[in-house]
Amino acid sequence: MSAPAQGDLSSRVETHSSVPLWRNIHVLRAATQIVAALLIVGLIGFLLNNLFVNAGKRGVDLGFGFLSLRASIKISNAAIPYSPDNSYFYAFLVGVVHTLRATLLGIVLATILGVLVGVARLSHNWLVQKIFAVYIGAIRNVPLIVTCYFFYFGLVLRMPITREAIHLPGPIFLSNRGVYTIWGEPTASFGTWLLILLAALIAGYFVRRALRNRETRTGMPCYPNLAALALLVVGGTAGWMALAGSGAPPLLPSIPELKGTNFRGGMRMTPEYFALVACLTVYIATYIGEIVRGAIQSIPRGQLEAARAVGLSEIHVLRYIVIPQALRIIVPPTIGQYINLTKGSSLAIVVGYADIYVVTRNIIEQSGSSAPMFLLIIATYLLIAAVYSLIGNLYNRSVQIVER
Amino acid sequence: MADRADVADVADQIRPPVASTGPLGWVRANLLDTWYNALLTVAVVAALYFLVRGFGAWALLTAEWAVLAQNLQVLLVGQYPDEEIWRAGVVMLAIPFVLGLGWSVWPGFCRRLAISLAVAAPLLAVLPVELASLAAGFRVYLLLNSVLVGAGWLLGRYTVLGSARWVLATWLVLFLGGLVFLRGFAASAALPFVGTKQWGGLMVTLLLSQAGIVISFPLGILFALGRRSSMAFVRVFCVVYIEVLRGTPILALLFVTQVLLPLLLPDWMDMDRLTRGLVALILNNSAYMAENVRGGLQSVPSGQLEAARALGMKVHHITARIVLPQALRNVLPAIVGQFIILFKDTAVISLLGLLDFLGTANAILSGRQQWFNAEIEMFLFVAAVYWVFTYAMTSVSRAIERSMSKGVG
Repeated sequence: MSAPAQGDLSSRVETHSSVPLWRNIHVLRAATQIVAALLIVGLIGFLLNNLFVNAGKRGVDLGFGFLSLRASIKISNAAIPYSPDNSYFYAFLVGVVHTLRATLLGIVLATILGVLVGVARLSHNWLVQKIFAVYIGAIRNVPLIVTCYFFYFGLVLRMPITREAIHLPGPIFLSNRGVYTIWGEPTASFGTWLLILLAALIAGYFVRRALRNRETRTGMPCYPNLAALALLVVGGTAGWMALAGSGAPPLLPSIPELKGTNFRGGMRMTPEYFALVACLTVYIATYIGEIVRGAIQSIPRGQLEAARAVGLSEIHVLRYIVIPQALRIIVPPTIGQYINLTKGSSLAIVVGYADIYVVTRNIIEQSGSSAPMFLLIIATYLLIAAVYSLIGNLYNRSVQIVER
Repeated sequence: MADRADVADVADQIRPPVASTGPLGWVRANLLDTWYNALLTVAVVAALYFLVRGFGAWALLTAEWAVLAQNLQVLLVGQYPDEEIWRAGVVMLAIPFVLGLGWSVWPGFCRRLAISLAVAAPLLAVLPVELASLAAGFRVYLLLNSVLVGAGWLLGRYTVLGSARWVLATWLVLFLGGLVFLRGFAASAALPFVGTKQWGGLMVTLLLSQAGIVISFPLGILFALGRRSSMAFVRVFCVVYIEVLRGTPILALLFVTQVLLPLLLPDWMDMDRLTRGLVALILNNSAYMAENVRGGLQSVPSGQLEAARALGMKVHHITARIVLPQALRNVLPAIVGQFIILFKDTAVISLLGLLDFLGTANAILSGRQQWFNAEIEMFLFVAAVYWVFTYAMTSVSRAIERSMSKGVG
């Protein structure tokens, strides 16, 4: 009985080893892999070949050498000193600084407004809740670019002339020439004051750590955060007083004043900068608001009831139960929104704010070197997005549960 | 020994209870439950009053709505020649028809949308406003929208067209046929050639977003599968594609395709500006779509795959019949969400001088001195139209999500 079975087996093994090449799974896999690789390489080669041929035909320069040439493009209201005599690369950097400036301010404001919106959506007040729902529904369902057009051409450019500027407490002046606010003008002793602040900060860090250790050791409340904050405030104030006493306060207030038809002093935000930041803030805040709302709602009611039952005050419920758990949910998608904000900032061209994209376009128009500039702009956006998500992820790690 | 506190207690007990039901009770519970909520309510009501009064006065007295009335045709179809305009009208009627068909197949998702359209169109048609371009013909055309919703529903209900597969096929055929119909043929007398340079307005926005959906959805699936492929070369290519295109703003991509595509492709493959814009939209959206689909692929338990393999199914059958249907169903809301983003993104192409809805609106504003100051009116209208379409899609997405959480989908 066993002999034929043996024979069967051996014949089967033989059949297996004699699987034809076109049915052998390993051969098939390798073949598909090679074909796919050839297709991809072929496609890229095809595109690059066309690029070189067409560039040669039209006399387009594909090198990066032009970046050191004189830019001779105009950038109005540059944030860092710039003149058309600077190089193309420096002009590009000005664009990068402008984008960073707008996105960082936008991120801070959108976060504040977003948290406010999220909390307002959970308000017990029906009217407040509904108004914010309408705000979210209206802004989210309209393309950001349409909001930008409406805001810039419809509202910002129609603000009153400087003579009749809207005067808000602060003082803040809104006019069609931009937004003017009070600003501190750093003096010679500003650096010294910063050093004092830094020293207070470092001292605060060590005091906080020491107090915290004592708190865990003894179980008695030692208020580490409060102590560190007090140290910083006292140090900063004392330093300011000492410097002011010696005749040079570190910052002199600079208040915008109407001289003739324009404001002098204070800080000016150009209408373009203001419109861009305002649009990005209003748009991204709706998304952050929904993230915050979802996170707070995701905390089981039982936890809040339990916390109140053991006698925690409302502030403590918020500080020790709600915020730590909500943050864990809020942080990752919010990083995504910061990156969306960064990408949205390329709509600066709508309002004429000289960001990376606008400067790049001007450089291409001036120099004709399109392909290298495209590589540069894409790489820059990827880099900014990577840096933001790196910082965000570092913070994210600190709020997540530490598991063994 | 009855002191004052006791008397107050008794007084409290015999006082009638505070109403907690009815409109008054609702107001008390939702608007005035604490002193700060009462303050907030008063402040908000005051602010709303001034806002509504100011806006109402502006909208009724100052606003120049003529900019919309006199340019309605341009806003809808752009510079499409007058004598050929019926073609644009016919093509756009595909939307109510497909919506009607969809109503018969997915009553949960499409019914409200289809009925809203069927009701809104006749209401617009009998609007007692004298609009320069709202001629009698256009009013009849609006009525036709309702008729076609009904026709679609009837056809879906009583013929073979009433299945998901046929609805999608009908939509695809009508859309592609519509493109050919709009473009016409150089040699034809009945359908003379009309180049995309003359297309414009809302029509272009709708066509672009449909084309973007049709192409970037399958591409996204391919890239998602490629990213999970066991072939290193394919995987790396897909990862680079997805990450680079996701990280680049759509505006930069649009600019890249406008300037670089003519350099990257041989002369015989040259395309018009509108198609180049579409390429950028597709590149960007297929990368996002791939990430959505990948989420769905990850949600399919590996046991499903192993079971299919154990049954001896071929790889492409496993993918097409076991993995993808489950994966796509799991992330359907995210996919619809991506369609919405694509629709909103089409507005950006106006920055390159292309005449989509927003681009047409801008062209009208800067075209004649008469309209230089009509920005608020125009952009409010543009925003409202985008809002209507996006809101419709959002409501579909929400209906899908609800049905999934019920376990029906």
